[in-house]
Amino acid sequence: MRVSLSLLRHYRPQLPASTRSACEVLEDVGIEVKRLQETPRGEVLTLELLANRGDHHCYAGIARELGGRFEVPTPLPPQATLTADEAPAPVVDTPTCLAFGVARCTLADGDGSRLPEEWAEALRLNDEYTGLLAVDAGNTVGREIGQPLHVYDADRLVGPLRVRLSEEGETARLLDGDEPVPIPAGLTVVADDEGIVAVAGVMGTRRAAVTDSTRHLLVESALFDPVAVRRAARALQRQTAAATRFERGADPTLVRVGAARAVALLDEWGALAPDSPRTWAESACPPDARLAPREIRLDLDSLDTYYAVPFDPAAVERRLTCLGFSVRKDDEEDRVLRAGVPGHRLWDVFNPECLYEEIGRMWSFDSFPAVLPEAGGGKAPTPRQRTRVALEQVLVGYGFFEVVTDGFYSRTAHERLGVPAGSSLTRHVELRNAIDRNFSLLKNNALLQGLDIADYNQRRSLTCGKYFEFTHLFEAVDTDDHRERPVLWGMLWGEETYGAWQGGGQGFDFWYLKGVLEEMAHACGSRFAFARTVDEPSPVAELMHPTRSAHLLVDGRVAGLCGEVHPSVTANWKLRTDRVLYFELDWTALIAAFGTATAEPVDDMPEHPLLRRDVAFHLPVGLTADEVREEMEAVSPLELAWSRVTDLYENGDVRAHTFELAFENDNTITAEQVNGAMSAITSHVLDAFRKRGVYQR
Amino acid sequence: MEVSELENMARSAAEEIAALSDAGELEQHRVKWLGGKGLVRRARASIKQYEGDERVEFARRVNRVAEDVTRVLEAAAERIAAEATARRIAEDWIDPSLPSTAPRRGALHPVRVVELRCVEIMGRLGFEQAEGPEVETSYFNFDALNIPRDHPARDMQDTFWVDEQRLLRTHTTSVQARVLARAGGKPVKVVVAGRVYRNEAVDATHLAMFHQLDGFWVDRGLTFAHFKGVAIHLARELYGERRVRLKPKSYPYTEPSVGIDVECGLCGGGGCPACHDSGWVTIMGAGMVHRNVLQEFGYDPDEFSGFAFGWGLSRMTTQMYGLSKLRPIYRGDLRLLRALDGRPALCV
Repeated sequence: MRVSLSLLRHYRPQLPASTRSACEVLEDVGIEVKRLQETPRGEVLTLELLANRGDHHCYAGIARELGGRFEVPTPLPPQATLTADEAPAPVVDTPTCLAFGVARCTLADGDGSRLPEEWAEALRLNDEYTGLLAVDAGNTVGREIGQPLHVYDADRLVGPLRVRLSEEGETARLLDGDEPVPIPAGLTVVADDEGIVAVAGVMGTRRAAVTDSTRHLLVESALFDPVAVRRAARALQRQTAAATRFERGADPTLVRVGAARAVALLDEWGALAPDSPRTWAESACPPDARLAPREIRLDLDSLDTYYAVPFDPAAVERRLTCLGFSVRKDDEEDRVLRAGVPGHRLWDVFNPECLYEEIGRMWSFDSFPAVLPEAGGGKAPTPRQRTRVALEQVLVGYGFFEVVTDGFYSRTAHERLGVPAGSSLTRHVELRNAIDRNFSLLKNNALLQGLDIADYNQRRSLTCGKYFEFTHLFEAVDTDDHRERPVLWGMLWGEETYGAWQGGGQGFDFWYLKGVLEEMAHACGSRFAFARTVDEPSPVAELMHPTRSAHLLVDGRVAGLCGEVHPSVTANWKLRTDRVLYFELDWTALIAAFGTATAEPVDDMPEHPLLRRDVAFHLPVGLTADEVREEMEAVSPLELAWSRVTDLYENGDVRAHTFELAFENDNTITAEQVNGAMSAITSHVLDAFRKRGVYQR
Repeated sequence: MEVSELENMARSAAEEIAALSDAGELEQHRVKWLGGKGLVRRARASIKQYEGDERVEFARRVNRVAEDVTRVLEAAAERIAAEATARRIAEDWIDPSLPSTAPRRGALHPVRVVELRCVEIMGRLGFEQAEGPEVETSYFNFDALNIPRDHPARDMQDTFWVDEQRLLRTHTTSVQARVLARAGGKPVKVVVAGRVYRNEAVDATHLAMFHQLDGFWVDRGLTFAHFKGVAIHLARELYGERRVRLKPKSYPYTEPSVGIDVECGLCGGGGCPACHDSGWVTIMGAGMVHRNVLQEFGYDPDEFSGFAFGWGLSRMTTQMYGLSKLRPIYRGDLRLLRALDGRPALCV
């Protein structure tokens, strides 16, 4: 809402003379000044009003709020005396209309009357000036005291007005357009015998609209159900000033006052014919419990405790009174006040906290002391927090950057992955109302966005990328169910150039990624098993390299996958690097291990060096080094500290693996014993795997 | 050997050795002079040519020559070694400005850095971190938080709907509702950070997905004064010793509701474009938990009270890193992420 500061001063002369101070007071009572403009016709404030305060949408409402701070009452402006209309009052056929009445008056001939410039300007600030004095009078009342009015050309109405719900197939030519607009059934409308003349609380129609030739006016003043108005405004996509006001709950005490004020203004501006009627006809509406008078108990001791200051009860009474509350001392309880809720606050003041809020704003929240409560001890990080931090530290240590991607993508983007038909990756949780098609599908994989980031950075000449993200993936289980799972994914491509001038630097392959993942598991007190096949593979596996990828298992459960992205997938992004490594991990699988880690006693380090021997075997494709190592460790006649592959020589059909075995040494083991153990191990491996083509190199 | 020859020999030795610059040549000269067949040995052999006092005198001279040659050789050895070391040092000089060979570390996302900072501060006050789903029910996102259907506040948070019941959470406050729902009416003290979604057009300062942080504390006897104490403590921990102000706001799930502003760090409160000339920067929304919310989860509002506060982590990140736009930090631009890593927070 935009207001003229000079007009506001007219309603609240106690505002500080300094503009900045005036703005500070406004903000302190809850009326935020978003912008201050100097215009040829004075200073204009753009206000951001509290969402629950419909009564702030007018000059008198703002003035009343300030009146509570300055302890000054804010009387209503003068109103015309309206007599009872002889014509029957409009009929209200719907409970969504809580109060309804019409005032009648007649405009004088000629154009001698005019809207005062200050009000013309005030209306222009909010695009409400029409140049039609009767309409502008109604709009002025709306901006002045906050009661929305609608003015009809009485001569264009056919039959009595009726407030009812719209019916199927009805249309109306609304004031902001020429074409008939379908009015959805069930909206609250005002109609005459020929149809809709206004969508209640939102907008009138052209058929009964005031024009330059209008003489006889029917000034509608009403109170409509906030939800009904909101539904209508949304259905018609028209957020008018009246709708904004009604949606926040209008003041039932202003229904007649509003109409009377409009007549008074027209009279004051010389617009009424000398013989103009000044009548009022109010419809009978069903009682609504929300409008019933109510009092709220205010315990002054509780108030003192709440803000940790002793309040002067008389000052509390004065300020609440200036805000419109009717305050009295409780008949029985000392230090208790009873505050009657005024009409303009019936929609948002219900309990003592509401009054605390009023008092807080009137005294200023800044004026109260801050008391740091006993907080007890600090909270240790949860296992989940510790696990995430441990994983982050490993990844950052390896040069990865954390990225954040959207939770969704478009169907077109997803098609780029080339997901095989029938894959569960073709099913998505869909957003039914996304305003942008890029937001239409909740992501069920992170590979797509990882490749997008590769593309983005490679287009900017980056030759190496290592990044990760903690995110959620969404799997459609069926039409009305889904599964959301936390995922840590990472991607790396290109070549690290650090130290390339010294012969250092390296590209990335499966083994590098495996090392990173092993360190991640280690940091969480766990281990990954790397399996080529599992019973229930991730659907992303179909997008990975058929041989240079593996599934990750934690305690025998599939927790993710890792390896090279299939070249046919990366080809869709036209990346400049041949090889893209990717991993995807249900990192919560590592939490349990992290959480249950116990302090086990550490054995003394061996005093004597381990006894190491090498042996090389050709292992055919399909036989893993781990299978051979397990056999070695199982049959070793001496205690093995560890065994590992230290070299792999591949030439043609030859795949020679060099295994290094390290035997425990208590300084009693002889070379002959070690050699004997090696012979036994070698023989066993050959016996066990000879049929699969293993031989010693 | 004559005495004069001996003296010439001593002179020659000093001159020749002084001219040497190579350790090998020096060794040859040591052999030449002091070796088994060396000149000094030959001079010693000549001693027996003399008799009496002449013999004693000649022997003394020979010894002196031997000592002189030895001293000259040692000095030369020392000099040559020093020269060799100097040459080696000169040859081994490295350029320390060349790039290192150790791989560089990566970095956490700036939003995560700010989140960790916030969570750490709140952890010291005893707040425990909680998480919740991003696809949320309308109950936990709206209804339970005193935002019924058709409430104007729902308009303020344009919502992505999956179906009638499910949506993408519009705020992390939904986790507050979930925590209260399972707390069984017991005191809770929780911090929540995570992604939230708004169904709105994306531009430089608006995203359809961004990050928020929520904290809330429900217990017996908590008052507004306590809330203000915690809020100001948080503001000072995050932004340093600056003026803080509370201004009235309206949130459906708190009452009273306030916004917490800190003095603009760029202009010191005088007003500048960064703070829209107000001198203040809003950092969080907060308030006392609404009694309807407490009642919804079985808390007696006359016995229990609580306060809640929250802020846009994304916005706070841009403030702290001095970024004018939100969108770039969500692009996965590795150049920007490296540039921001280690950059001191500005705390605008």
